[in-house]
Amino acid sequence: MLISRFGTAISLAERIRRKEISATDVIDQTLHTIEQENDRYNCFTRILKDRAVAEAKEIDRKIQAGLDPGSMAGVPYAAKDLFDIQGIPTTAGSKVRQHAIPAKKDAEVIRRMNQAGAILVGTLNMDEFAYGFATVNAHYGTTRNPHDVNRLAGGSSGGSAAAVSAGFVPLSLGSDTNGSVRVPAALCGLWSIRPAENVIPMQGVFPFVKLLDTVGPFSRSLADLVLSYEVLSGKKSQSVQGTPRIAKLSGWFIKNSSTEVMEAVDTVSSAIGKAHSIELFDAEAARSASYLITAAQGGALHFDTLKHSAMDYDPAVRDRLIAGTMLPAGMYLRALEFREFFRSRIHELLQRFDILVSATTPIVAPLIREATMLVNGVSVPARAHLGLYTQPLSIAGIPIISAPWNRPTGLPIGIQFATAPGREQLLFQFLAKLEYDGLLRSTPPALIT
Amino acid sequence: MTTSASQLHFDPLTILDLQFPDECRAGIEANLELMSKHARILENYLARLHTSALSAKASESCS
Repeated sequence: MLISRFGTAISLAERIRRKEISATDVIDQTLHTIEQENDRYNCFTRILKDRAVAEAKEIDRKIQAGLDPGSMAGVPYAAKDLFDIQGIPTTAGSKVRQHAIPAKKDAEVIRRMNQAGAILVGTLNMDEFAYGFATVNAHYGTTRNPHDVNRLAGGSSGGSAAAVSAGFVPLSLGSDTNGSVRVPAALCGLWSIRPAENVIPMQGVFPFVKLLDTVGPFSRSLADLVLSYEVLSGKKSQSVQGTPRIAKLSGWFIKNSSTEVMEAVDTVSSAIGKAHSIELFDAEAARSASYLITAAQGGALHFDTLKHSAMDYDPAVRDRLIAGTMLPAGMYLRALEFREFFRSRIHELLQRFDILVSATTPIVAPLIREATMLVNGVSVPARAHLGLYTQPLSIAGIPIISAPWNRPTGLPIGIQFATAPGREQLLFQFLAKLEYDGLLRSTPPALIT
Repeated sequence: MTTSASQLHFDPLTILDLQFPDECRAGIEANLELMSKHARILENYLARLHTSALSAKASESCS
């Protein structure tokens, strides 16, 4: 074993730059591990062996020539199956697009990762067209949670979360429309960020709901998350002064929480100290507005394809999309109006507080064979409801990090930290302290050998 | 006397000209029900918001 399976991207890049190990050897080991173990978790939908090997050789050549190989030199990563990758069809987790015209060039975020020296090794499983919180895919199967293979990894970027959690790669890319990076990050015990709108470019990303779509990375450490954010956004972090004012979200954001999730939020809040408790009365309506905007835009996007290829879709996604096409325009417009109102309310709140804290999901990863959860005492499908706490904040357009509560035993629990656009650095610094204090930490799963 | 939209001799959904196999029907209906539930939650919230905005306006003009 040349590299530590659960090491960080930053330390791996340093070792490659110092010539302790070659990028080619790292990629060989990574591809071998994926080949041996992917079937256990079903993360990858495609392995890009030739491309990865060629890129690794190029990194090694640069290092030998004394050139700068980049901050992510030789670090393997993988991407959700909805980013354009030159020469292959962008399938977005669907058989509907398996014969689509191959992408002419890489998505902008893939280009930026590669420019920083990172090496793309494959594409990752997802809910078809990103419509779901489970990564249960009729075409490519269900992605399993590395912490317990009988449980869901979450979604829709479940392959991206499971690949990092299982130690295949230290970094991956996903997308978050209603919580699709935060939910799987929480269930798989990882760090992730939904960026503020328009901060990370969307060129070459297969759309779902253009108004809400964002790209976000996954990692096992905060430092790796910050590095990924800098590479993807092109923004370099600079230290800021000040003690953040913290508010813990109550009401909607604690209703329906399991006891263990409540305990996690209470522990984090107590450790933070002066956290005010705030009830966001609009949260339920915000979730509904987000749901309706998603249904309408998703339905409209797929309308033409549904007319001639409905039966090629994943049935669960198809039926949701068809229903979405029938939403009255007036209702959609009212949801959009509400979105504007809610955004102004959140921005007012973020004048009084710097960081808003809540659980990311109400429960830990549900069992695959019994993927339901209780909402107001009623059993509902987890696939549509795991985003209970992520969905309302999605329409606010603000940056939100899901961080892993330090829980060495038991299934992972994620905590959401939201802030105002432009205050990301304050949030990073605040979370770095919590990670240093041992309150937040990604714990590797006890892998089955 | 009132007329319900469903009594009109026009189904707005015909504009979509969307046909689907019978086996999709139950799933679509379940999702339409869920969508209606969310539409009602939003409508109720907006109605409450409208009422409270009106009463705030009324108390402003009284003071």
